[in-house]
Amino acid sequence: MSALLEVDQLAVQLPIGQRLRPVLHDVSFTLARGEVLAVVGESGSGKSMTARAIVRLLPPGAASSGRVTFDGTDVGSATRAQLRELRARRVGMIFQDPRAAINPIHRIGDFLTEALVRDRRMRKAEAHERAVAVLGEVGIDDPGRRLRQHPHELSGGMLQRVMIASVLLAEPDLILADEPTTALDVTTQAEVVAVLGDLRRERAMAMVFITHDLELAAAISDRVAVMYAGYLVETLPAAQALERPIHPYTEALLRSRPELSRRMAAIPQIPGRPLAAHEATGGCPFQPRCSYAIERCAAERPEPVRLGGESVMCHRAQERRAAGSAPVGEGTLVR
Amino acid sequence: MSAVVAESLCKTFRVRGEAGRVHHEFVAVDDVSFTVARGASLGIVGESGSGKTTIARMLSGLERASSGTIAVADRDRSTPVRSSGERRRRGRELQIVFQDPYTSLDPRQSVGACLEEVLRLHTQLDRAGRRSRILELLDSVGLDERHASSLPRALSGGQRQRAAIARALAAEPIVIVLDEAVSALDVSVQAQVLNLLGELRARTGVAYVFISHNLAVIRQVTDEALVLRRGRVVERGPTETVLDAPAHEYTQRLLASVPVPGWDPHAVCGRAPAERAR
Amino acid sequence: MSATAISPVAAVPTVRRRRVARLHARIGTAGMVAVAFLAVVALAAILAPLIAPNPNAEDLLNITAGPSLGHPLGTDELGRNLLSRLIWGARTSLLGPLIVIGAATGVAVPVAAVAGWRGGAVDLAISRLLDLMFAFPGLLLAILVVALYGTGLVPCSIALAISYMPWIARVARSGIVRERHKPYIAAAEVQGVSGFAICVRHLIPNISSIIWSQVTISFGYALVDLAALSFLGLNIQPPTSDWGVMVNNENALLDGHPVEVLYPCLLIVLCVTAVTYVGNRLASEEERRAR
Repeated sequence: MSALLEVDQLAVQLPIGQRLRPVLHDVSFTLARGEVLAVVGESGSGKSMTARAIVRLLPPGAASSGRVTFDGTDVGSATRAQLRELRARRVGMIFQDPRAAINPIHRIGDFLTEALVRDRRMRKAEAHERAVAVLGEVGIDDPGRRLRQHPHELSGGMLQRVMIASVLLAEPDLILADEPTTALDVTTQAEVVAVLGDLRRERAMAMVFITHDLELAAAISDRVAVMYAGYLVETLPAAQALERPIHPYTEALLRSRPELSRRMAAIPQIPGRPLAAHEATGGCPFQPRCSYAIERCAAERPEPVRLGGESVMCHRAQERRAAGSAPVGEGTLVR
Repeated sequence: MSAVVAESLCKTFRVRGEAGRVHHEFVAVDDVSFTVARGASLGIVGESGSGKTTIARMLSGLERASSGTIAVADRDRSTPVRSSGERRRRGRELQIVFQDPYTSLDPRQSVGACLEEVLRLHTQLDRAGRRSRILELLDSVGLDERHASSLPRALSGGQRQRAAIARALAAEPIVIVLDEAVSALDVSVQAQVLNLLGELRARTGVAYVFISHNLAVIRQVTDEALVLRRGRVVERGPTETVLDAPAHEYTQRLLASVPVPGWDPHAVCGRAPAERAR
Repeated sequence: MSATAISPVAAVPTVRRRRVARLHARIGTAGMVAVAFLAVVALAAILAPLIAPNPNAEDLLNITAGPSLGHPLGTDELGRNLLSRLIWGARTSLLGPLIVIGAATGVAVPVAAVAGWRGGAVDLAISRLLDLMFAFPGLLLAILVVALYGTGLVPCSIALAISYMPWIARVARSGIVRERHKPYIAAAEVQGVSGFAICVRHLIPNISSIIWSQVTISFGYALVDLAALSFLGLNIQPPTSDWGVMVNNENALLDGHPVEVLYPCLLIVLCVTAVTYVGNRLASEEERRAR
């Protein structure tokens, strides 16, 4: 199966203050049709920027390099019209705050059918029918009534489902979901994730799911990509993400979460704070906080190495894999 | 002596209906009672609309209870303050840390000046005494002298939250209310702040009322927990019991909502999966 | 930019030089030009008795004369030195707006703070009162005051201050209401800081950028309004020189000698532009830095 999306050596610089500063460094990955890739990272790791760069939704003044190929076409050399087509039909985006993405003065029905009527020249009644069907699909009861309501009459979870429905109406090949459940309550998050999971199974839709929650990422995706300081430090199968990650950052991130099942004397914490992409120096970006760092880590930036189904950016990847990196969950201190 | 005693707290908001005509009442907090012993840590768990933030605001005097009483260190604080002396005394009894580290510090005040203001208000220390106390406070939350002269915008989210904790500690209160105080932090920074909160309680004997939607965080920092739903307490008890053997259906649902390996979100919402293809 | 190009001599900048550099960074080169222009005008106004001869001295042999060594900008139809009149005129023309803005802001900010801080019925009452004041045109109020208390700079300035107050108060109030609900204010309340101290130490400083921009815009309006009052003959009375009085000289236009009207007009426009530009730059910079 050919890849739906290929991202090769993608780098982005943004104007911060007077100069251009990197926010993404040489990010490469591929996504097959129907595959779900979860991108995990802390704030400033570049996970949102990766999603935006895929559809070239970059802030003014941004500079980018590398290559993004979507279904065989180079997004970088696409014309304005092609880009518009790409964003309107082929790639759907779901953001963290549905309230900011839906015009508050329009009814839900207008919001959902507008694109169908305008771009696809669908008749109003037909568009309405489609909207009702899709709302049902995302688990909204009494869709006919919802279509007549305004955004402020709906809860956050409900609105996020409307947002997902609007993306589905365009029948895209790829969904970019940027922290779609972060602003929601945990029970609502479960509902929205269940909806996304069903859709993925039924429609074989590919998805890039961005989150800061490693466990959520592992639960809903096929593969997990971990980002740190603008670098993609590790890509691994979801089943493995919580069991035996290879990159020390992924491992430390897993351990520094408080556990639901037991109280720890002290949470094994990562010293320092997450680095911004432009603060990364010549060596490995995680080196200053890494308890496995060796001399070489400070001097030389590791290249991603392929190990079976994984790609890891760490000088000690081979060695850690051979040793079967310490199983997480035994409370061994990272430092 | 108890740190906090809250009895039958109720809060009703009047909601203006459409066109400003129809008023209806919204019960945000409905008959909530709890006590927190000195040096203890109570968790209040709930989702949005559960009334947990309203409880924090009532405890700290930012909101008046519609009915019920609150006492901190056996002194009633259900009525509005009458004198500036009483206002300051309440400040020495209970402090609060908010969720958003970006808006909970005055953007024009350096961290040092912020602590200085609190010390001037609550202590008799002279200039040199305040100076050394500021350094001591900064040190206790893992900041140092350099941060004293920094404005909040020069600090990271985690550092700002540490500064807010230092501000809350400055008056040496009996209890600190932490309203989703670690929810906006990155995972690696959240771990640091949670450890810090544990250390501080062990060292100073301050009590916490820790409000959060995150059950793992509640487990980590509290001894007892209340589960709130739509303003009412649905379950209470030692944190371990509540989380290990939840009795109420809602608590069970909250627990099932937390993504863990092998997690099935369908079980939470009672939505039949479309098809079991996997 | 300039930091990298420091010459060895300037490597140890004095405090003043550093301040100038910081100001430059905040308002840009155009802003510095505006500041320099305002400084020259203000300095000339202050030093008028030392640098400019009597503006009312009439040189009847040289009426409506062109520029000469004795009269660098020429003379008016009574043979009075135009440059001298412009310099002396700057005194009243700039002092007036300062009184207007100072008085209006001095009343508006505390009023806004009380309304925004107390909220509820107090806010409602104050807001309605401000609405009432909006309804009353400033120039009309000034004419009324002049009718009651006679012409002159002080009655006119006070009348304008009253009519400007609600504009500044409204902007300040909305800023305070927005700021008041932020957690850092709640934190100060929980600390036991008094309402007065919270207003003075936290609320007002944090809305200073919007007050500043409103104040500078109002300064421009006040300058123009006072000139208009002079033009109407209600403010400064001839023969005292004032830019507004000088503009009100139909004889000059009829005599085909428009420069004596053009110069004060030009000065009014330049001053208003310069003040507004610097004010807006400072305010937007302030906004950016606070975030």
